[in-house]
Amino acid sequence: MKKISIIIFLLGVFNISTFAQDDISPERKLAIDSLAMEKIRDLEKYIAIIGSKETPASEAQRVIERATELFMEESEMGVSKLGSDKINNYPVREYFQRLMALNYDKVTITWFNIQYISDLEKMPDGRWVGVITIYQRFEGTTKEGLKYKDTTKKDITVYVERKQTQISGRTIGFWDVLLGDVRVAETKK
Amino acid sequence: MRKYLLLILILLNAGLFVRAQVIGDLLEDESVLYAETKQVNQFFKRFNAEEDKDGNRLYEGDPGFHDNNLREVSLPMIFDRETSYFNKNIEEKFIADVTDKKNPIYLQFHGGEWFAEVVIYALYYGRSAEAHLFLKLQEEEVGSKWVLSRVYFEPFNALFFDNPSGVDKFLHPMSHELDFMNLTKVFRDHSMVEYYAYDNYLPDYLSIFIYEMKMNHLKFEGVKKVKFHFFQVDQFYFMIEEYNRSGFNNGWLISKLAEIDEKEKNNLLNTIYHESN
Amino acid sequence: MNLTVLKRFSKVLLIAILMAGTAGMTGCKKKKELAAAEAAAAAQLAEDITKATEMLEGILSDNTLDNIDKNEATLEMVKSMNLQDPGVLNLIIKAQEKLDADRLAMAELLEAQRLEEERRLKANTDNVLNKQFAALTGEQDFEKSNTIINNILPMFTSTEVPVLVIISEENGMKDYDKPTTIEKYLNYLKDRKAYKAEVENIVYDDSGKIKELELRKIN
Repeated sequence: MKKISIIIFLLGVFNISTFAQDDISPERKLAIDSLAMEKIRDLEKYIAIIGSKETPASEAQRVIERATELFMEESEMGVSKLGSDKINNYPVREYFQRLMALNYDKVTITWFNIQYISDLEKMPDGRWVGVITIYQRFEGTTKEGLKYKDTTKKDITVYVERKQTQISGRTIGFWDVLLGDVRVAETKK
Repeated sequence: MRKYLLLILILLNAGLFVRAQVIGDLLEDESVLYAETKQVNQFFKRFNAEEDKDGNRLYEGDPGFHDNNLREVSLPMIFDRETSYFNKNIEEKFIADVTDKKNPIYLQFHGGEWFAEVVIYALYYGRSAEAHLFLKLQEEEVGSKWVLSRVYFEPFNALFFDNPSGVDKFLHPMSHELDFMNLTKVFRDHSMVEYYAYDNYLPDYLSIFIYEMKMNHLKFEGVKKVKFHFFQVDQFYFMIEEYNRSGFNNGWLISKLAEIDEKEKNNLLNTIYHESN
Repeated sequence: MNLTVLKRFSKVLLIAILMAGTAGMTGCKKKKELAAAEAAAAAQLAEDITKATEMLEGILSDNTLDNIDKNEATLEMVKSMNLQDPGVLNLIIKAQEKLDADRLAMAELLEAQRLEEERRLKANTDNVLNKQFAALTGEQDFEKSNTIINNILPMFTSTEVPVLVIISEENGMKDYDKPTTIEKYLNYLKDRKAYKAEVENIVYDDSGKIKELELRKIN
């Protein structure tokens, strides 16, 4: 047991110093961050299209598919409202369906320009994981003119994996970026 | 008067984390969002001066990276100033130690002594209850992962060593000659079995927790609260929690700070884990 | 010796002399014929040499690249004449060298023309593609967007043509975003309303349609 503890300890120490070397140069990390942010911006755009009452149902449905494709399978939205600790979990597809079905006459969804990107941490399966935080503003107006507004903080899991594929007979290396679980918390701002 | 106080508060807090410019899709003042310590990851970065005022990562060689002068100014801003109380002297000593020019202390995400306490909602035999799960970041051959290290659950706690008369119970030293027939009496009154265990026996609540989950007696309902306990600064302990409120003092902030020696550290750990010696 | 013998001897002698004479007279004719033949051959040779020289000099003085095939055929013909005249042989060597150089120059010219054509086509298409993509992102109406997409797709071999986007490049090694298809990419532009890339490389099939598209992400 002691031997294992020593090994684990050494691995722990070793990991701190190797983490920096293990991989991705700051420049490449920036490119990956940029790519990950594009996926987030894609998600934001899709959410706006899905939520907008001006989007034809067929288009909204198509965009729900595109939005769901951004995510890993079994990803969920964990949603909490102000004044309650309770977090409700929805599979992402269901979350988008609910968004489309919201009973407002007009819906406007916008994002704050700020985003916070965490470090990329390595997982035991060799992939990288990070979290990107964004803030969304939602405004819904009912037929009667009642307005609902909220600001939510979204912590979005991002998985990054280096993959290869064959295109026209040659090998292409690419970064596969997939989103994962999202924590959606209404904020007091 | 309130407006002036607000202005002073803003000026005091907005220092390093304010971004006045508004660009992009949005409409409102984003300074508050920049000020917020949005992730635990960011708490580490801010503590260590590994990011700039806009939240951009700094690396070795970048201006401001691990700058202890900057940390002296920015550290006070990652304390909860609205609902927690901190002893001024202890806080100053803590900051001084951490930003010491000769031996500065930076928090380690990997390998440092820190762990998570997650309070969860549960259903135990159909009744609502709360459990405390303790998790630590375990380093693997490749990467790392969070693992359950301990559990505290009051219903379990209530089961063990709750009867003072139990300390007088024992299996006498000649029990073996009677084929341990007195075990019948031990187990007849099943409420005191633990008193017949070896000296200093402590129940492993994690195992019981897993067992009850497997038996479907215990159901997970959701996460109530997450806190992190840090023992990375010698002679000090601090805890961080997430604050969701308006204003600049927001997000993951230090909610407790204590000066402790080795003995006090053990006592504190026992208190956190709800364990007694 | 009597007369008969002498007469006989004279006859033989005469016959011999006559034979010798005849023989002499035949050799002469042959010699003449030979000489005539030789003269004719020499004249022919001279003519051939002149002709060959003319042809070879013709090749050497041709400053265009328009007659390479013809000149090569001419050179082969001269070679087949097997003339051993040093002047001709020298010209043959020179003509061969010239034609080799001409061939090379022709190949380079064709290559340059091909590249130029390709560049022109690419520049044209780049502009067209970049413009179309920008138009797509600028269009707010769904129906009109779909129309633009339907106008762009015929430029491609199929809707499944791969689109590769370079996100970074380090030491010549390119990092790409996940490969997609042109149909998906166009729909992506329609949804996203942002084209933050430019055309890097286009690969055409034999019918002039695009079979592979490489873009470079710009910030």
